[in-house]
Amino acid sequence: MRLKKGLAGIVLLSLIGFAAAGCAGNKGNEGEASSSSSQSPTQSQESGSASSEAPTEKTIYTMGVEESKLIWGGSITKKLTEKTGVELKYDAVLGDLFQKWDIWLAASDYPDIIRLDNEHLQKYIDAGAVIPLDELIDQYGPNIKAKWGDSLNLLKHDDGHIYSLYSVNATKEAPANAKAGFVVQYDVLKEAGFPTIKTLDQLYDVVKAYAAKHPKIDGKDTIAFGAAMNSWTINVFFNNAGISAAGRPDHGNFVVEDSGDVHWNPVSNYTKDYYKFMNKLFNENLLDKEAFSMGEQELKAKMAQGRVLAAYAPSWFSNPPEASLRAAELLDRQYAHIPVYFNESVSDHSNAMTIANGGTHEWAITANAKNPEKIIKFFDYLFSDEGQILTQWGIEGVHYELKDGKRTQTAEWVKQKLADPDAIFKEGFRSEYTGQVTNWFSIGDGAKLADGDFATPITQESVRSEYDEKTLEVLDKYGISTWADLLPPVEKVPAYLWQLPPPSDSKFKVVDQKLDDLRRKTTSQIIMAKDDAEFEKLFAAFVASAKDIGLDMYEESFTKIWKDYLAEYNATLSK
Amino acid sequence: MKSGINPASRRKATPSLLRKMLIQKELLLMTAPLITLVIVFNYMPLYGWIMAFQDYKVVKGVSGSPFVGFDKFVQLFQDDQFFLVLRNTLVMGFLNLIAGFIGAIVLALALNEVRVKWFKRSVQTITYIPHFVSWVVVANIAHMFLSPDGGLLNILLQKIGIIDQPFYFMAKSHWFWPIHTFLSFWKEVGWSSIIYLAVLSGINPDLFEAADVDGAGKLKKMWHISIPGLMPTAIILLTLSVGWIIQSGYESQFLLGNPIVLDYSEVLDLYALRYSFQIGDYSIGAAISIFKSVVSILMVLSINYLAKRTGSGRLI
Repeated sequence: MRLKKGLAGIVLLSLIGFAAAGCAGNKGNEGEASSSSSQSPTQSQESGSASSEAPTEKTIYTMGVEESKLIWGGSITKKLTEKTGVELKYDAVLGDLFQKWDIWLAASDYPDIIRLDNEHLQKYIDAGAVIPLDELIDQYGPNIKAKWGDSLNLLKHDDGHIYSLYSVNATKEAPANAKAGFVVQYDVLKEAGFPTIKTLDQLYDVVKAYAAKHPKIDGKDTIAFGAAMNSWTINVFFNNAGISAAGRPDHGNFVVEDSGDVHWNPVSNYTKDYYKFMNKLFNENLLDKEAFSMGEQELKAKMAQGRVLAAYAPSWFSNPPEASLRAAELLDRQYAHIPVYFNESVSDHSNAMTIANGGTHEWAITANAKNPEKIIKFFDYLFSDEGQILTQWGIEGVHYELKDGKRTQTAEWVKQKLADPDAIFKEGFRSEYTGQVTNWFSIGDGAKLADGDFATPITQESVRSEYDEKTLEVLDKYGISTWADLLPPVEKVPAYLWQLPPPSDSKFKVVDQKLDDLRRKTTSQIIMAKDDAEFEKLFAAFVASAKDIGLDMYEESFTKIWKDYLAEYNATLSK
Repeated sequence: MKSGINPASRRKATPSLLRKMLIQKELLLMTAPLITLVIVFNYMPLYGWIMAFQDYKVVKGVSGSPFVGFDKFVQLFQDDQFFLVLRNTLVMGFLNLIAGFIGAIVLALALNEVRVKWFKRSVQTITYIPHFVSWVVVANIAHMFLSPDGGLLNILLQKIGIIDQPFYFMAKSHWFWPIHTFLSFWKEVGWSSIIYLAVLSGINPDLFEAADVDGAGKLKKMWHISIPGLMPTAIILLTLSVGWIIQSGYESQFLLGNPIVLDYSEVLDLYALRYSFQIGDYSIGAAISIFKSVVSILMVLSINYLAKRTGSGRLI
């Protein structure tokens, strides 16, 4: 680590030397010393427009990421280094991501660039571990400003500074590869004669029938319904699932009323109804037997083995196991992505869209980074049209070609992608997410660049062209062309509550921690209840304990955050 | 009055100490690195204890954070969770101590009676090897072994017909202590018995021969010769390990536990870790650490006092 820092130092020194020799003339007029970071100001001399002139010197920055498959060295990443002089050295976190972030912070040993969620970002801000970006963006980020527009104001924290960047939505339509949250295996649907599944009861019936007929798949026990609870997975499988079944927009662990009042979802009726459903699955032996002690990896592994018949698994979760299933040619075990509700009368507002994709995947520059100007210029390049085409479409003639003046993915590249699920990593199309499923700083599928063509290759045709024959067959049975067709129309919402920075005082954090502990302890007990009476008793006890811990104060502080944000949002929009 | 008698002897004593040091300078030099190690790793970190009396913030550091007196301790002792966690730490510590202590002595006594050399050696090796296996591996083996989804133990129990549905060991909070104690026992028993075996082999064989003449059987010899011979060592080891009861670490509980069994699996170290890292209140973490040190010193002193009273071996 120290050796590499030393190396970076030498590179930096030689850079400064070059810069000083090359353009000693305009040294004086760069009055950007106001930048609150103490990094070497000499660097900034090599121009404000990074894209026009390729810097020849290369700087290696470390970046903390979650995905272990990321590599720097594909044709796209190489091109990025050529254009911006930045190379990222991905430092993939093994084990619990949140813990690693906490440990990095405690030891002040964080990488140069770090991806955080807003809760940890706040901790890093409190500790002075990340640097404010607003002045850097002001000076070196013309493309960032152009793509974000007025919404840039929404990035500001309480203290008026911007600390993180993520992708912005310049589109008004749902991406063609969007999928509903609940999944059912093709083979289960086939046996049931491709029924219409709209409610949890219908879902229950088909998986129950299939599991009774096929107690084993590939020699291992069939798991009728999958779920996991360790670490963050509890939020997805025990919270979001219920919200999705209620057709509500995903505000994380919260329900936001129309009045702007915020309620903690784990004690809501949605959660209760969903737990009831899981309780039924559990007592019928249909729920994964070790759901309560499993994490992400275990569940993904089971899904990739083709043993999990159905689950709540949003596409960002189910995509990797499905790719493995295709690679293993278990096409029948892939998943249909179907919206499923508590009952027929639920009206679905879950297909919401926000202005930007903050919350879970925010990129920040740490105080350890030398020469943050260069990183901002790198980010700025990613936001430029040229950078957008490079990171989303690839290289002309290799990944895409111009057909009638329109960018189209080449046939070879599509073939390569289908044959090797890791090809996108090897080429460099993937970096750490900048939003739930957004790679690099995408401005959204269906958005257009200045040249009038789409910013990303994801359109209905391209999505269909990447489906295998089994998927097309199943879609045909349901009379739709993509899974996105099953989704309700897009509704714009100001933000999701989880995208906003949470309250940061330590009293709040203690309550937050206690509520989380309580939920983790009691969820399994409630779902494992023997009968309805016990279920009701346990759930009521859970709600009462939450109130004792300080639920009211907790909800109030979130209500305040939401209302403050709404005011800011409305002010920004009316400008 | 006294000073009138002593000056001569005192004058004598001072140079003799110096001379003694001069004579033993090589020995002193050799201890220097060890003393430095103890100072660097055991005494210097005590500086961080200041944090427990501050409202510590990472940005401000120890020198800049405001002092709040005993507030953090008050907050700690007002938290119900703290006492639950303290209970878990003590119970698991005692269970490990008792199981390990008795197990190691019984294993040593039994092995001592084995006359077939190769069998004795191989049992010894097999029992101490798990000591070198890290908790990560042990915990994973346990998870796989006990899993309700194709775990070996569940398959076995089902085949025998004891249960008809897989038993979810890891989700039963009351099972956590036994599972944890069993695994710690399995991991450490062979290792801790080595020292007792060494002591047993050092007991004067004349005693056993004399017992043979008197017509004592195997059990009698064990009871009247081997066990009394082990006692001084056992008492010293027990005294030492009592100090560790509250400091038993968190690795095993962290790796074996899950959210469902939290009420039984969380120990002081984990609680401190969660407060420090997840909530970001490092002061509470430091307060817990002070509390732990004080309790373990008290425990060692009281056991030492008891040992002194009973007349068997003692430490200080």
